[in-house]
Amino acid sequence: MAREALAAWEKAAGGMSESMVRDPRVLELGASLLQLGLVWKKAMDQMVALSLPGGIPGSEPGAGK
Amino acid sequence: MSWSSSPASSDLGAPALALAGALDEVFSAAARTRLHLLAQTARALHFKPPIEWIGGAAHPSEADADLPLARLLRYPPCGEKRLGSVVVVASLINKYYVLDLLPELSVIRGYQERGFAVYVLDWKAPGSAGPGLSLADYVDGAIGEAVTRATAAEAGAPHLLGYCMGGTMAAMFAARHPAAIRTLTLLASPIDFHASGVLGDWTQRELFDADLAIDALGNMPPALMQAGFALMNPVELFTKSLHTLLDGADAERVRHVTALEAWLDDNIAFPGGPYREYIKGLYQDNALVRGELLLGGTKVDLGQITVPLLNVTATRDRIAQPASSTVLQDLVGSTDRELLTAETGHIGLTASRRTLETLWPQIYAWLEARAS
Repeated sequence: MAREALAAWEKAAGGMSESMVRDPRVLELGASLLQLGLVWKKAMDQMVALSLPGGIPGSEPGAGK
Repeated sequence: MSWSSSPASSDLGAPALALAGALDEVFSAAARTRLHLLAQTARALHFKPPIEWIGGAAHPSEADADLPLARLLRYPPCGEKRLGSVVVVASLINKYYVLDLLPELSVIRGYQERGFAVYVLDWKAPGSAGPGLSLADYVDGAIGEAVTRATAAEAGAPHLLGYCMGGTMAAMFAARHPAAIRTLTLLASPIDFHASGVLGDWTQRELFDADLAIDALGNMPPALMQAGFALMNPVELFTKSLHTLLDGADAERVRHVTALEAWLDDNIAFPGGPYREYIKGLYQDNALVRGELLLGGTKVDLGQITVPLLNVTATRDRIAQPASSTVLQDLVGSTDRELLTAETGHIGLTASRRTLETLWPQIYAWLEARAS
């Protein structure tokens, strides 16, 4: 009985969540948050790099090659 | 158009990328420990003995070569029969051992038992080299080296098998080097990326800036990709553990779930350079299916695939929906081409007992018929 109820809930909630993560408004919100996080991360890295004499070791272009 | 990679452009620097790779390994080990604790709790709740520790590939392999981007492993054939070799290409972000998950759940073992030597590319974490790498380094470089080594060691060109993104790369290799392999088997491998499903929706150019992501992160970290996969069905996040606790009396099921979940948490970063090419060239421009994808400066023409092709899709695949793979049947130059469809999901194609019993005998038979 409990298992059947759980399976039914899973099916219903799964369907709802799948349609939610494809909703254009949700996609736009998620994309904006991600972009904000990435821009913030990049800015912080650049600030740290500028504050260190000579920058972060190995961060010059092509250093990772 | 070309999506050749740019040099390392992250402000993180090489040491930070190397550290990130090491931390990924720590997180994988922590996740494996957490899953075993859950499994033993589930067993204890049902007054059953604990399961054994499950980690990595189920069967032993030999280290064949240490390549720059991967370790090449060799699984020797069982018995006296010799049918040549199979080179296996897994996704760049997942470990290959989902194909050798448990002693009773191993696709690779099936090939060994039928007389094939199996060569597997075990991808290395890209670390600080990732932003400067390209897809061509993997397709022409690593896969090419594995095929060359298998050809020399097993006296004949190998059969090529790719799973998920590994299948997409295997198809690219087959198009560029058709004489180097004997057959091509693809499992859940997207070709038409605009038909691939929810990942295609999320990576639209208007929504996702792959350059910004790699500029900021260097490589695409597993944690971010894991979050994306989890969001495909967030409900599962809550119910997986509950099911394990409810099913604790069934040792086989607990072992299976633990092995599979531990594999899902054992990822490496997507190298930054290939990530740019993959997202922009494939997901956003859909260049492969249009014959416009440039690798190492030359176009990939899927019509150049002339070897026998077996294309396997899964009806409930959310990562590579069947339509994204089946399109290949009309694009290749092969006259011998076959399509198999299984009633399962993306991972169920390789890591499900039922699929191993019903689908895989057909896949093995297809290859045996072309290897004898």
